[in-house]
Amino acid sequence: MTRKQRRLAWVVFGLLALGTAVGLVLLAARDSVVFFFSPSELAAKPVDSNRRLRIGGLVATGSVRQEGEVVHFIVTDMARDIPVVFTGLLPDLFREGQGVVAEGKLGDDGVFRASEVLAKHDETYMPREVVEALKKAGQWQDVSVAPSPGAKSPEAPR
Amino acid sequence: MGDFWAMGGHGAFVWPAYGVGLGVLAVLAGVSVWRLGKREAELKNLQASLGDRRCVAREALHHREDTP
Amino acid sequence: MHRFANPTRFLRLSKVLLPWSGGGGVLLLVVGLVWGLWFSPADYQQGETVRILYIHVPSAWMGLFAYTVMAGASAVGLIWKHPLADLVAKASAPVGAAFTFVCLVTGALWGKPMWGTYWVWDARLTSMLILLFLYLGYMALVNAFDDPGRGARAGAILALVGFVNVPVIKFSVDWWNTLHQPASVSRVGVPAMALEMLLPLLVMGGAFMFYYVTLLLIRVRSEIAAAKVRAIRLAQGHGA
Repeated sequence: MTRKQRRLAWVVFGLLALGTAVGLVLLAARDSVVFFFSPSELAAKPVDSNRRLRIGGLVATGSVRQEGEVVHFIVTDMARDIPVVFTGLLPDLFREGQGVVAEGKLGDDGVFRASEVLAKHDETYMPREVVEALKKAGQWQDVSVAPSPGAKSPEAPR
Repeated sequence: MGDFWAMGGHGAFVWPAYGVGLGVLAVLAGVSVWRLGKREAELKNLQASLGDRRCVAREALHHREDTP
Repeated sequence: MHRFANPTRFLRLSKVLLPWSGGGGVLLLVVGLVWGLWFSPADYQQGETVRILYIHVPSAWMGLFAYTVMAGASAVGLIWKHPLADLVAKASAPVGAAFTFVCLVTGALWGKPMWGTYWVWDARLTSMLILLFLYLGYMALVNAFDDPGRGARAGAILALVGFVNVPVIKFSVDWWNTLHQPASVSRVGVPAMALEMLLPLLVMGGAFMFYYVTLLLIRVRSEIAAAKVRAIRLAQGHGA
């Protein structure tokens, strides 16, 4: 049945062409699709202070300082840190050592003024007791993140 | 039991999520079953009303199939 | 009458399958709901709110699965002109759209207390919203034609073109940084989800799969009945 084969060939050819096109578009859009920049990425690619952007990383342990409505904390990716100031209500999952995404502007003084702070959690789902048991057994890999200006880890946290 | 409904203080998000989810699925199921019933009844009525003319209709269908 | 030969076999088979898929779906749903809402533990970070997972994640799976079925059936209908394939594609769309809608709504209700926002335009959320619009566009296109054959062909092309979105949704969390976390269940190596949570999730996934099969059978039967009505009306018109 040549007609059926021809239709099959057209469908396969069309899908291949479309897949290639979409793949190329996605490759080109790699940079503009990013939802947030890590502190290292921001350090490597400076932006002017008037541009609104999002930064993401972990809330450094021991860095959260609450002064009334105003919250100060440090976003780190283990290699670089950005100090953040935010006024307003923090989400439930905002915790030291947890992921965070902040939207706002990076001032010339290097302080990020956030207008919105979102908590980012990882893909781990565990009952509390299990986590405690793991911690007791020394099997739990916690992300204890202190502000680390000297750290050399090139890998940005996900 | 009160704890169960409170859902750790986020009952206002957990219960609507389940309500919307199960509600949408239930409505779609109901509509699908109702439509199947309606269409099958329509088909039955049509076939019954054709009665002895059914052979004619079949003939006509046959005719249509043979001449695409 | 060779055109109805396969649908006839389908009608017979689906009549046998329907009570089992429907009954199995209800049974799994009850077990999954009780397990997920009552017996499964709270999460160490998210507390009780994690229970939204048991309805959000299966809807996301089924939204993608129903689209894959729709695209596959569309390809078969387009290439081999199988009459049943067009009906399967058409029947799959509303079910998949419902799952996708549920996924988006439950995701928003989960995002607000946990992330601090109902919605962000990150790659995962945006590609899932595009999936919903692909479903809606497909349904509108298929029903826009008076001739069901032409509607099915136009819809099939849209379904196949839109299929590129499916791998984009799946891998969006790996390709780009997103607010949405990566997959927990398909991760190899260290399990990212405790077994007490994974099992009710899989039960709910099974319930949704049974629901999908049941509704697909019902809707295809409905489409066959409509096609027969149309054929008889057409024949009457010709005979008169």
